[in-house]
This record gives sequence, structure tokens and C-alpha cells, in this order.
Amino acid sequence: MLFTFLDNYNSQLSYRKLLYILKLFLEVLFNKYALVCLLYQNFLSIYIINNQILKLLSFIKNHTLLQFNSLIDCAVIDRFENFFRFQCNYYFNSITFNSKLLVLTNLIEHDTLHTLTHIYSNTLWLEREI
Amino acid sequence: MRSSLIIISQIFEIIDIDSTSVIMVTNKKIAPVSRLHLKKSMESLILHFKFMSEGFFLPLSENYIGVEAPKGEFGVFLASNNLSNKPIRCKFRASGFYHLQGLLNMSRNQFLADVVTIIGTQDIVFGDVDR
Repeated sequence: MLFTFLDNYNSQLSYRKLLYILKLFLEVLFNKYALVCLLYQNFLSIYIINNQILKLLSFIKNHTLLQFNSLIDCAVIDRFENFFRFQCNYYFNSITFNSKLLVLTNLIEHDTLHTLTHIYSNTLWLEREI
Repeated sequence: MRSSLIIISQIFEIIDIDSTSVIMVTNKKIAPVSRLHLKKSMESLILHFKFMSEGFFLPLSENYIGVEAPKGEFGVFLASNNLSNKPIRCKFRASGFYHLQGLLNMSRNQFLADVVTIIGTQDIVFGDVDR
């Protein structure tokens, strides 16, 4: 099944198909953490609880049908009027499937976020400039 | 190159010097008023003053747009809330920043004199990195 799928969608994954694959896998893996896949800011996006982000990103990077193995950018917004004060955005690119992905997490004021340096090595400088 | 020239020629056909409304948005709260209307109608003068002094408010959103640059991707990240007319978060992703970060891996087990050559190969603009 996997190889027939790859033959059909080797060059480019359509967003609808990518959304379907992501939903299929992520609902099994992260069911109880209220994860949502939606089209937000013209990106295919995943919203996840902050302590599960390492598990998600290692899955996204290493899976054969996704291969989001380059992190483009990450940025944090300080919305001081909200209860979840900080919003952290990670933008990924899959060169093999020609598609982009956004991963969102929300943090309260004294929350901590784990470093991603051992998954994506370019976050070493990015996290200092976040 | 040829297709981009075709696109430019198609745009020139649309542009008419007398009517600017074909290219620009007709909503004058987010676009400047024409100079011709400014001296004739009071409403245009008010809109012009409001646009130039206050600007316009964007709803709560954020967006990232990446543009292809000669050295890599150049990305702009902007976030807004509906309370002010300025962005609350603005980040520019310079391509040279990532190249300079790779200097550590590229110059490992090399001589110090090679670092000069590696920097020259990457063609780093330090003003770009420090943005």
C-alpha cells in the first residue's frame, strides 16, 4: 500500500492528501492531547501541547510520507493580554514532497519549552534569536 | 525569463494612466486617495488625513512569507493584534544567518587560515546577519 501511494504522490503531495495522512497518524499517536490539523495562515498547521512537541517533531522529520527535514523559521509572539501569553510558531519545509507545515504551541508565563537542537541542528542559533 | 516578460507585457496592457483603480484597491481606507480627488472633495481629504496619520488596523493574525533570494530564502514574519496600527512582532529571516551558523561545521578540523576562505565562499554580509 505504501509503495503504490509513493508512486502516485512522489513528486508533489496535495494539501488535502497531506492533511489526510497527518490526521491518520496523529490521531493515533497524540489522541488525548487535543491536536488539531487545519489550514491556518495558508499553511497546513498542527496545534499541539508544549510538552509533546519533541515527540511530534521527531515523527514529522523521520516519517517516510512526510519528511519535513528542514526547519525554515521559528518565532514567538508575546500576546500579553491573553492567558496563554506566548505563542511559538515553527515553520517546516519538505523538499521531497514540496510542501510546508506550521506547528503551533501556546505557553503561559512560567512555562518552559524544550530545545530542539538534537532534532534540528539549526535551532542552535534560532532559539537564541527567538 | 520569457514567461516573466509575457506577464509584464500583460500587466502593461491592464495599466491605463487615466484610471488607476484597475491596479489599486478601491477601498480608500487601506489605499491612498488620488491627488486629483484631493482638492475637489471633502470626503477624500478626510480619508487622506486618516490614512496618512493613523493608518489602518489589522485583525488579530500572524503570517510568514518566504521569498526566494540569491543566497537562500528570505522570510518575513509579521504578527498583529486588533488594538494598534503597528505590528506587535516583526522578524526577518536573513539567509546569511544560517550560513554563518554552518561555519562551525564547515571549519571543523580545518586550519584557522581556511576560515577566511570559507567565509568568502559563503559570501556573508554581516549587516544582513545582524538584522
